[in-house]
Amino acid sequence: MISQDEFARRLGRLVAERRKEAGMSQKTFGEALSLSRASVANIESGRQAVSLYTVYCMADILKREPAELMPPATETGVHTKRSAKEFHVKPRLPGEHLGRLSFRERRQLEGLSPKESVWFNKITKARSE
Amino acid sequence: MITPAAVRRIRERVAALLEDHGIDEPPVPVDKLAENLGLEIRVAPLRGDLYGALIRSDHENYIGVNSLNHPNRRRFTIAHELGHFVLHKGIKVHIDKGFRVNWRDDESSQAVSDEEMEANRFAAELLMPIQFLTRDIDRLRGVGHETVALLARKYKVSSQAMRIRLTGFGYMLPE
Repeated sequence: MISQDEFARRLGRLVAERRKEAGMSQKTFGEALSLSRASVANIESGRQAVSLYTVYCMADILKREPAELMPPATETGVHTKRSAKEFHVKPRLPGEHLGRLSFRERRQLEGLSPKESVWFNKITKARSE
Repeated sequence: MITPAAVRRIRERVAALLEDHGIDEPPVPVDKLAENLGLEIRVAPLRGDLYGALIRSDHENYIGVNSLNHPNRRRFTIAHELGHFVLHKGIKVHIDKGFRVNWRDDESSQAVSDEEMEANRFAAELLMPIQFLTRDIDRLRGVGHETVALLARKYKVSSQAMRIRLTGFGYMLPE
């Protein structure tokens, strides 16, 4: 995921583009948002962070979907689909309810792949950590 | 290696189980049998060659089955885990991972493969009991490829498993 500063810059660029497309000046846009022209300039250059509520207000004024003012998830380094491997799911070694396990039994559990561990946890109804 | 004495012992255990639970014809209801023995059957899907697991704790025992496997394979898994449950009292967790388990570098590899062989033998004896098969084969004129397929369907096992079983009894020549 990109830094908060970089995120603010990208969001600001999009806001500026959409505002210009709507043929609005920073001043009139600011007035509609109850913000000063300087604040609008700061937002558009990424020097000032905005709340999600403000993004919605801006979308309302520009007659856009809020998402059109926000950088697409993929361009910000957000992984929407993660493999179990990334989460590194290990089976909860069921020592608590099975008592002491032998070396062989432990080795079997430790030898499970992440996907197999998920399966094993479903079977034992244990939660993955 | 599995000794003739071990085979006899397993066969006797299976015969007693079938009699105790009033099972006198194929297909042997392995899931019912497991439940009667206090083993819950739990299923979950998984792509890959993990077939099932046996888990035995102080307060509950259950068999996990990979629900993506063919029904015949699922029956074999249950029968195999039942084998571990009945024959190997010490086992708390057993995972049936097919061919990938490599115990070669392990001191206990011999013990593991012995237990696996015993569980496999138990599964074969349970799914295709000798007394049921002899009865069925006596009614047939001979044993050929169609008979193998017919018996496999009747016993709800794979044709391959049935062929191996019949070969073991000397009804068929090994391929």
